[in-house]
Amino acid sequence: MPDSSPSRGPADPAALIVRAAAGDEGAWRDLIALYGRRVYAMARSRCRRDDLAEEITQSVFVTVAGQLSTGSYSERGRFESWLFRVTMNRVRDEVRRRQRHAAPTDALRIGQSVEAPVTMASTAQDDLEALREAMGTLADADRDVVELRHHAGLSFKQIAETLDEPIGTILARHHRALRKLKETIEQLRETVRRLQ
Amino acid sequence: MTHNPDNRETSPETPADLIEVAGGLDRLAHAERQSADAGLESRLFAGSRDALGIHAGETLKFPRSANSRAWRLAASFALLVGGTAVAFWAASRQSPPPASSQRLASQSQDSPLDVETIRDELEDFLTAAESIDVGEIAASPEETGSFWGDDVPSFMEDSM
Repeated sequence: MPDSSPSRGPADPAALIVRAAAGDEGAWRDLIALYGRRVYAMARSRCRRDDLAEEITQSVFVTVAGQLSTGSYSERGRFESWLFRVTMNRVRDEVRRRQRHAAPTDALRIGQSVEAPVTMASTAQDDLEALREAMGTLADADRDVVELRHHAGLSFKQIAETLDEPIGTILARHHRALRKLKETIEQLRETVRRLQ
Repeated sequence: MTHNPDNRETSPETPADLIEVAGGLDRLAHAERQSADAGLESRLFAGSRDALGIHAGETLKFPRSANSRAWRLAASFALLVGGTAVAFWAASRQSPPPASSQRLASQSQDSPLDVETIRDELEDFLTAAESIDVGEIAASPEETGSFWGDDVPSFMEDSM
């Protein structure tokens, strides 16, 4: 009978994955502790709804657990790339599904890329909220890199594996995205200064 | 294996003029992670444990509903009725026939004794029939002058 208690000591993801695949619930609990909020942050950034983000996160972990339990995944040091590829696919599916059924006024709530509203900038007290809105101006490919880098916490090499792109392309996209975000935020601040 | 977000602002991949934006993204990501309701990990574990536990040989549990209960009852009833019918059929093939059936079967069979008896009774009947004077019986009123002939009943004599 697998141990159902959480494991102690430093978590080695590779060992945890092997144990979880063997049905060790403690190892699975540790994997969730390691990656649960990172997956959640990815989903939350794109869909911008707590309940939907948790639903997507739950779905991702159910999928991963099923794959581990059936032996469909073999640990070769690429668990994080696989995990977040599953996450991205699930987020995209959900965003597409919501866009098909959502009213036009729900655009901001389902991750559509829209220009940040001036009214938000003029009243925003939180730089994070401004940055969150500016994320909506990024192209999807650039936004993927930003979210995998900052929300999921992957290295550029892992992002390249996840997106199956050369690492040079990933670095260029990240640089372009940061530049775009910086320009958007400066424009918003300038707009606020003019309005004041 | 895992990336340390705390060191990202000094990461060589990030240009110096964009460090502020990168730091803001790290703070935004942290805020997104913390925006989940308390107990996220417990809910994720509870929701995905079954998917992992299948491999560990745990019993599969299917949610019961009123619909599935009705189906189970219907299936049980059908099995009961079918089983009873088969049992009756099998028993009827193996047990001896009832006494009434035996009597009917014996009556339908021609035994030598019965034929002999019927023959004797038939001969007695024919002998008795030959002894009857059929001429008197067959005589018409025209021949006798009266239907009753000479033997007119006494109660008829008054009316004649």
